[in-house]
Amino acid sequence: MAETKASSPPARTEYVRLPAAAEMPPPGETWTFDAQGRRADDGNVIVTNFGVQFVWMRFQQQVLAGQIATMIVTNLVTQIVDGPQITAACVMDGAATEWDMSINAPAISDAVIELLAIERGVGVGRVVCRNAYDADLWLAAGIAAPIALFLPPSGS
Amino acid sequence: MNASSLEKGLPMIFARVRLPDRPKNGRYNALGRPDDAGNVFVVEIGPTIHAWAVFPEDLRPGQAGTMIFDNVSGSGILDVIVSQWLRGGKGPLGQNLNQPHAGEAVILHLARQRAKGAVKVVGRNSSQAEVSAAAGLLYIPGTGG
Repeated sequence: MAETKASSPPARTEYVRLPAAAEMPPPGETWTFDAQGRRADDGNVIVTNFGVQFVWMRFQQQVLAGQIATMIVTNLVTQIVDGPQITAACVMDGAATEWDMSINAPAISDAVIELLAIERGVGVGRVVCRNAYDADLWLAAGIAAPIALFLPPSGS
Repeated sequence: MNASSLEKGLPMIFARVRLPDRPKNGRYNALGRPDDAGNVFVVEIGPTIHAWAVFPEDLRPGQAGTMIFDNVSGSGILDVIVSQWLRGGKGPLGQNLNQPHAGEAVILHLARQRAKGAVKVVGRNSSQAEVSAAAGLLYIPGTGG
């Protein structure tokens, strides 16, 4: 019998839908969205455009001590803004970290968050992590990928 | 997860691919030559190359797989992942399947390592099913990163 990755307490899974490429922040800016991809100041999805997009997705409940948490991100395609889609299966990077709710930003403390898996599907990404600390924590999953490609205006 | 968990159970699958010298959109074999039935799929996005290398054998339940990408210049830090894969017929990424998949099976990410000119990624099939898997690498040719 293969060893499986068991979660105790039972695992939690959350979904996030990214906004369309045309609704992504322009280069150099950071915008916040809700889990359905709508602009929302208090949303749990924070997108920064540094040429590629860096996306933090905060879990909407605390991840319990020992619990495995999975974040699934949908509408993950690579598209030229106002142009064609390039691919829906590029390689992405992934991360999982503690979250500081007082400043709405990633944080590092004594807690260790195990990064278990970073996986891609067509139009979908998945990050799996575990709260390996002995306390319930706010966590976020992060990805970095080319999602919305802003081309310079013609003639510039 | 600990080191000893890699030492028991099924032997690890080990595979190695050489990336093309000048990668372009398309499909290649493990020697880096264009091949409509090869196990390496390349997508260009701007200056970056996204390369998927499919393990030649499926990963059995609990089995780990190591993929080494050769001909990756420099020794900079790179993005590399392991994902389930849907095998398909001839053709490029996404045609006749041939695409990554985030399905029931979670492929654990065990290690990503770098050497001059090479990148290694190790994953393990944590599910009870035998599944195909692939390693993905994002890099910029000729820059070392």
